[in-house]
Amino acid sequence: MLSKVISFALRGLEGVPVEVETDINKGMVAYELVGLPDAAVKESKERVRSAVKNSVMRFPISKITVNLAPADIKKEGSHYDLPIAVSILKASDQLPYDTDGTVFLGELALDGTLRAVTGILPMLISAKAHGFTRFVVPFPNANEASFIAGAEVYALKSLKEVVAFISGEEAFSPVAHRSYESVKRQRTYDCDLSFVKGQRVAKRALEIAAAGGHNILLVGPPGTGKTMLARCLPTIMPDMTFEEALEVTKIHSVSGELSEEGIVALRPFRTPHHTATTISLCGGGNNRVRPGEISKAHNGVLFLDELPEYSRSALEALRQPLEDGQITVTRAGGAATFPADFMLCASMNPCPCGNYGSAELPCTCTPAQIKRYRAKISGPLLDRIDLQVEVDSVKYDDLISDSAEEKSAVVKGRVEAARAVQRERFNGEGVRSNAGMGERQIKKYCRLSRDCEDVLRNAFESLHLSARARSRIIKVARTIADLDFSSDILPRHILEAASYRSFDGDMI
Amino acid sequence: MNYTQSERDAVVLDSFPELTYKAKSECTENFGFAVPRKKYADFLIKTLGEGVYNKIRELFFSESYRSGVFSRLEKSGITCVTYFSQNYPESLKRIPAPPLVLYCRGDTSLLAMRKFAVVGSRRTLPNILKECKNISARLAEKFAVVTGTADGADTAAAEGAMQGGKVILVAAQGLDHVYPACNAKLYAAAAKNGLLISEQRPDTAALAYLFPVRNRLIAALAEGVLVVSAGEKSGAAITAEYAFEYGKDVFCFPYSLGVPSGIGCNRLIKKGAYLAENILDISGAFGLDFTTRRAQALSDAERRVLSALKGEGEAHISRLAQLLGCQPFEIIAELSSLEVKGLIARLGGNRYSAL
Repeated sequence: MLSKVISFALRGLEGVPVEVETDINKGMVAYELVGLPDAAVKESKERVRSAVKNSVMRFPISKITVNLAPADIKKEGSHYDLPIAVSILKASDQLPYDTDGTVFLGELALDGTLRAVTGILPMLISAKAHGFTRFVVPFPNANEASFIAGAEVYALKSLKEVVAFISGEEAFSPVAHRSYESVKRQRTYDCDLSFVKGQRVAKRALEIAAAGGHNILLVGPPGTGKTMLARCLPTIMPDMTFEEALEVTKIHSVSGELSEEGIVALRPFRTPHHTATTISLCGGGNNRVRPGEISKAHNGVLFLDELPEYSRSALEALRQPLEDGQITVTRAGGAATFPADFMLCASMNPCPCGNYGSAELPCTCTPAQIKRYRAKISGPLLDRIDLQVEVDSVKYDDLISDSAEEKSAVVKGRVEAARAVQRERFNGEGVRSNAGMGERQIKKYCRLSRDCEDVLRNAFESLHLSARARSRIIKVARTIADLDFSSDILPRHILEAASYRSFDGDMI
Repeated sequence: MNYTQSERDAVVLDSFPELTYKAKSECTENFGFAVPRKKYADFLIKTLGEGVYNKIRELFFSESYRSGVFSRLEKSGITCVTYFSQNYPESLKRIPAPPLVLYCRGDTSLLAMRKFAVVGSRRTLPNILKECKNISARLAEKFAVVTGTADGADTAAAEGAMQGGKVILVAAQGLDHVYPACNAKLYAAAAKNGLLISEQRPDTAALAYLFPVRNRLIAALAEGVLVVSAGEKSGAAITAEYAFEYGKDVFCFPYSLGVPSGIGCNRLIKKGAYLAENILDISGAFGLDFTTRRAQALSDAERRVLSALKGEGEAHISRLAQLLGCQPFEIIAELSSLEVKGLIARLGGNRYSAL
């Protein structure tokens, strides 16, 4: 007898419907699984056999053929266990009920328990788009599935419960819908800008970066709190909207990094080590293409500590996603497009010995050594980092210990206000923030008065700025003006923007 | 290029790597003439060995060898000023070991100008680099500024001099080599708008012992030497020592205690160098008139920041903000503007210094 059960496969972040067909025939006892299964899927044969047996059902002893259709997509992952088991039970007449319109996802333990699987959220979203509304998922995935409005998700604990559910022997209530807002309220960041003492210039630069979505480079001696500052960056960025959170959750779900919570409510902060390869940053994989660090940092911050230590090829690969906000990874197993709209925050020492600009320790590097060290960051990459800011080498707590440090929430308020100005400005332009402005938008929204032009020209001449610094300074000046609620860019905005460029021009 | 017979002889004599400086000067009685006399044959055979002596002797008079030497020089754009040339600087003849040949690229007429040396260490503070650049630009109005080819202070001095006038770069190695490699642009600019000279044959690579040898030339060429920075062990200090020896005036920037790049400067001042804070301290000693530049227009806020910074000398932005009673980011624009106007320098690490 023949049976069909619906499940889903993942292609990048997109779910593709897969029909699990089982045919049981008379003949030599056999158990075949066809339809391009990978190793994990092939192994499901044995899990399914034990799980069925241990759930007090009968595993048919005849010629069983399981087909995963369409046969041209590589099937990967362990979530086919449940649909295969249901399909076999149906084909062997042990579950003579209709399951059309219900999507089954889940991994089976040998005793029949359902285990959590990765990628539930993107599959559910795609399935909804394909018109499916009833889902059976493992109980541990309930949280992740609870955010999708209009879906009837049953989170069950074992194969036995699934059988009881299909046969109607037992009534189960679908997972209660949870609102994103309630989860968001419960989650707080571990760090706060008020934990960082002093560093007023760097904090101001972070505020500007967050307000305009600018990439930022923190330059400072070792142990001055560059990492701490960077960690505070997500805390002053505006909260993610539900749509943004869903995008992020999808990516984290596919990579199997989702926490109990089931949704990523805080902006991600990713810190790949400097030994990271191009593939681990950008994404890849043999059969199923998996997102890399830049996609996992989508809508959040990608922090590259000790920037010059990263391999050149890995850094150069960031250029295109920094521009487009997404990356298309093409591998033998197919191509996948992942969103990668992240803010790049990098840190580095000012010179090989680390003491350049330090008030206390002498720098032992020659200008040529410093130039060589800084030249490790290519011009085109530097081009995409709007703010280059120096982090103080000295603790100035004693100087300013009387003044209280600002809390992240206060800064975030100002950032949100500046973002609101930008949203209004770029309405319908396809640009989200000042950093995303192209030449056309710069011409349109950043008109400079004669004074500003003069200031900019002088700055270029006396500070030896490179030509590419121009649009960068203007964009940052626009953000500073937005923080100031000034509709025009004023000379002081240009001058402040010009001061965040410790890398342009020469050192003399 | 037309050379006289003795100039040609001198260049050919200098072209033998086997001949040491001592051998060359002995066999010509301290450059009394350019062709080694017969009576020094025994001396040369003793120092060189008979085979080498005979080879050199043969080549020295061989027409093909001589033309080869000159065509190679011409090919790499080098002109030679020899001890026997009209335009050989008199000041070099007065030192114990004058060079036999100066290999030059660029405008050799600069050798006849008044010359002033500006030297310093590679590890020089950013504000001093800026000051060095400014002061050598001013000096170049009256002098050809002589300096070395290292990065750091030498480069700053050369760049400043090229803004204001003429520069003479003295390389330690032969002119076929560029050292340090990152200064290739500076070499080209000096050859184009100034003069690049070396005492060594063009194919001589940069070796450590050549640098003090070169430093004596800088001291000998210039009327005075300004040392903008010098560490504990520093080539700039060696140049100054030579200048003392040759009876030239030495000027030094003063440094506060504990600045590693200023130890040598303070030591030189102790030894009798003049303390120089600005161009006027130098011009006074030479009786020259450097008119002061006109003041730049400053806004009130800029003036307040500048005077606060001048009071501190060198300060962190937080300190300045504290003095002015505002938030650091509120004075970033003013600091940036003052930097643009060339009145202050950024030291790195958000510290600033008045110039």
